[in-house]
Amino acid sequence: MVWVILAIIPFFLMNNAFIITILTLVGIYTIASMGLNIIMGYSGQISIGHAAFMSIGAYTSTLLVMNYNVPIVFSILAGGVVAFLFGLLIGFPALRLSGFYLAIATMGFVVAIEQLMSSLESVTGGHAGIRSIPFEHVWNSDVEKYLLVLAFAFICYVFMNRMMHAKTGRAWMAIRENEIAASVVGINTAKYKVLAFAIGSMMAGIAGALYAHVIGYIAPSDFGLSKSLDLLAISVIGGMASVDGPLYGSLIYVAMPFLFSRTHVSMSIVFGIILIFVVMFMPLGISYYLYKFRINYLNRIVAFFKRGRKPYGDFVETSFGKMHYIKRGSGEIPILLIHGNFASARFFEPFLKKLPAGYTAYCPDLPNFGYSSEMPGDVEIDKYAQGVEEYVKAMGLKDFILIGHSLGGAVAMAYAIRNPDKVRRLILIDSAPVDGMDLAEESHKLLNMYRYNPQIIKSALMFNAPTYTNEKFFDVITSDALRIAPKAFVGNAVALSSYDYTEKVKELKIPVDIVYGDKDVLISSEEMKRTAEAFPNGKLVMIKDVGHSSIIESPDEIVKLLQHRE
Amino acid sequence: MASTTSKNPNAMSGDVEVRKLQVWYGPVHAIKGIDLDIKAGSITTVLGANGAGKSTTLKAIAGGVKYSGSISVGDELIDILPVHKRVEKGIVLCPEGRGIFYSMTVKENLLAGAYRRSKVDYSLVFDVFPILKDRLNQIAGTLSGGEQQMLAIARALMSHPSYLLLDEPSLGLAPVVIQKIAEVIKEINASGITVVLVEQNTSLALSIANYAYVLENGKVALHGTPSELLKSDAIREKYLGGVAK
Amino acid sequence: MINQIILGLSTGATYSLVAIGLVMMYKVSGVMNFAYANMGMFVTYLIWWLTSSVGMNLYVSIVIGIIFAAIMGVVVERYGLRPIRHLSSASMLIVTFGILMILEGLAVQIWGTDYKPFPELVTGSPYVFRGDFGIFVLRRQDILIFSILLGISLALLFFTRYTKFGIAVRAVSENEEIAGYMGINVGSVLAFSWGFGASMAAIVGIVAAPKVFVSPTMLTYYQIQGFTAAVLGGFETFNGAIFGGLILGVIEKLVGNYISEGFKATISLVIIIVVLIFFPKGLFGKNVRGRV
Repeated sequence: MVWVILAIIPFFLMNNAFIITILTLVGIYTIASMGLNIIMGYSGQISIGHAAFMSIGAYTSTLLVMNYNVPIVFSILAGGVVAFLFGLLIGFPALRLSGFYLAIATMGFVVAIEQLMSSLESVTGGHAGIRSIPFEHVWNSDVEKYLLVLAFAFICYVFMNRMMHAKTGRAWMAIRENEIAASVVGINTAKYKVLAFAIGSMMAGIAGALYAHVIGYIAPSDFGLSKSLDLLAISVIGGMASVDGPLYGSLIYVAMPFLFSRTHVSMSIVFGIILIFVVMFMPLGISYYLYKFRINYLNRIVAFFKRGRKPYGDFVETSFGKMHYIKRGSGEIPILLIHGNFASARFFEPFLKKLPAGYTAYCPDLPNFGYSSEMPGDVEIDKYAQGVEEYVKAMGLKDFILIGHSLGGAVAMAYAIRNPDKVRRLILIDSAPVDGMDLAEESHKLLNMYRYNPQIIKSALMFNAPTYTNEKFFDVITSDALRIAPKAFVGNAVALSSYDYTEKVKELKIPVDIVYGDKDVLISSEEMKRTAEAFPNGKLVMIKDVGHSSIIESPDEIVKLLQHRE
Repeated sequence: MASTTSKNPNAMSGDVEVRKLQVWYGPVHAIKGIDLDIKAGSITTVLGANGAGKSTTLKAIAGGVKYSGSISVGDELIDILPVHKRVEKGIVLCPEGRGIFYSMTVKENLLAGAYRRSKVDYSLVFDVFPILKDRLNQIAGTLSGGEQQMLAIARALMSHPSYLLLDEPSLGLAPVVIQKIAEVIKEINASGITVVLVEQNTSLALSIANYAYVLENGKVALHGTPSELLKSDAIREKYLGGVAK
Repeated sequence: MINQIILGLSTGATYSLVAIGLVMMYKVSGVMNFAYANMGMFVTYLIWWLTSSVGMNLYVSIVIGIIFAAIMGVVVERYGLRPIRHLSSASMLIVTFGILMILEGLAVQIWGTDYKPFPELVTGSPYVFRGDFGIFVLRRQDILIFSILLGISLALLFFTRYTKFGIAVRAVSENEEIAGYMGINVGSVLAFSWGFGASMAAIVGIVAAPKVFVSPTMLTYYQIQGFTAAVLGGFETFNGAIFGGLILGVIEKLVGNYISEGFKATISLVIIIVVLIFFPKGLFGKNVRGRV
């Protein structure tokens, strides 16, 4: 786990106390910013007074340790509790204020606290602050400070993560999106908003207390309006509605001065520019863009490794390259099975296992799929049919039963239309309809996402075979699917929407079975009826309680159908 | 009717052609491709249920929403012109819900309407709405509903438009007042101003329009002259059945 | 006592000027400009630099400064805010925070953090009135600030009532979309509001500088008081802003004398919260509008 690594780091950096302190500071600001994220990013209330809670926590903890010898962990917690209480105090009036007015009020709050701390000289040391705040350490103070901060950061992180996935987090997000709608649905918006302020402030208080003990010196001006704005900038830059955003924001905030140490540019300028840039062009913060990066690019590496490499069948040469296929059985009657989109020859394995004697099954990988060569030019159903023609020619097949699944069904129709004499019988299983399958243009972007996303491919395959739950099978098919020619991801969808065989199939006299599962989500029973009616010798067969992949979900039914009509 | 003493020198003229108009509000496809032909000098009405896209259509012609497709007046395309330039060219929108400036006086509202004019000329407005003459210093928010609607139309007239786009002028008004508004619209049209009228009150609209378009779900469902439309059963059922408010 | 009140009114007048600028920007563009103080501060530095380092005449520098402020305001609005108007008020608000940070950084970068002195605009002995009611002192600076406030108030009044552009400003404040349909170039009005606001900030800086000296944080407290004043006035009308400022100045003076100086910001905070909760329309308020 990442946290273990983080815990070990300081031991490697023992010579460099400076870097340890830097990392410790990053931790402190991360904690404070997590609190601000709860207030702003999750429950949608703006606060530019967050540093005031750091101040409250810092002074509380410091005074407890210095005046009453309270052990440090307790004093920090106490700082958090007092900050929590002040958070409640502000949270209630905050209910009546929104947006700009809340910003004004919180601004007033942070300045008021700063002035107060300055004027209560006897207690807080006034303007000059408090020096030499002790930190009792056993061995190495820097490492121990770091570990203490890390411990609190861990606790806050876990706490925040839990909350975000539980009712509280969802309530906050509902409130942020539309407060009126949330209250109508029964969410006690007041309670949650105040709670957000209180919890967020508590984290700031803890961060402030840690700050006091780590740095050893605090003054009211450390926690003024500029610090509040810095915290806000950290939140926004990192990503306001995220749990990991604060870390990225804090890293930038603390690390930045070192990048610019050669030049004499003031950090406020740089930070301000970054803030404006993020708001205008990356409003969701670094956290979101990193997440997208992970999805788009890191997944490519995973996809690279998961891609199948070993062909498992045989090859024949065709005019456009190799075609890969498997053959099962040694019976008299040949069956040619054509797989669907995102699948391959071995998709039919669960069915092939149940193949009765008397049949020989041939399952090729269509061009563009699996281990077969890529089809030249644009993707079209008729071209796939040509590929099948090549295969049939090369294998010397004739008078066979042609079975097509999904996309393969469209290919099977196209083949049968072009070569009616070769096919004795056509079985279309959860096939694309006779007049094509339209896919909205907006899906094209989504389809390209499949290219590098094995997870999505696997989920889609499993979703379309709801009653066949062998995950390892789908892992194998996914590895084949990752080999699909790049142009076919969108190409197949376009091809599926670009044909209409309604007229042409009128000439087809062979028996045709149109099989579909009643839980098929991709294809409607209307479309299947239409398809069945288009064939002169067509018969509609509905299988109950299976989805889009009836050939593997209920292979027995298909076998029955196979034998029934013979 | 009125002498329009200082006509608008920049005004465009000619028929208005809307082609392949599409409007998106974020992910919502409000107008899905409509074609309109608005003859110069006519009263053309755009009808339809709530949410059919009528207001959006007017706003597109006025330039207040982003759209794809083309809109031309006479033979000139106006798509690149921003709102205030279109007002200069004589295309003025009288928005839904009156949209007057409630905190300002009647006179100030009228002045706002005349913003693009170099000389402020009340004559057209006082001809059509003599009642406003007495109310010049009254705060607009204190006028009655009917008076507010008249102010809204008057304000639009202050810029001496060639094309007056009216968005649901009858909304929330008593039948007597609606009658008056209808007469006013006819009077305005008689002086040469092309009127594009969006209305939910179908019978009112059909009684004064020369041509009508019916929008449904962002598309043109029907169009024709009022007599043609009144013969259609679909219209009678859908739009005239529950029109009395 | 009455002298305390006069002094209070004098500071209050400065707050009123801040509030006028804030209200103008808010009413027209819908954004509360948190970078207001720093805009004023930056221009004040500029003027100081022109007079002390470049040796320009004070009044010429002031004119240049105010023009610079107006340009800065227009540029910020046009390029920093206009592009994201359609996003959300929160985004625009955060942009103003960014501007705040950049301006503070620039000021420190260019001129350092030392306090710089700034010359008084008027010098001379105060006017003293004696009478039955006691002694009543009116400093020249007080007269100056009251005159400036009066002048600007009258100018604003005239402008918004009797000029075409003034009516356009009011129209855009009330309803931006419909103002557009009137043929008003909304962009120009937006730019104007920010140019005006920034110029007001510059004026405040010039007036306050002799007293608080020129420093990066010279106007922070003025901004808070300006917001408070605007809130007292309901954030809607210029009159409200003016009276809000004056009243606040007096309250602050009295609190400062009879309670303590250190609680000034706290008092403002309390005022803000109390007014916003119990008098959402401000003490003089008209209509309330929620923008965010």
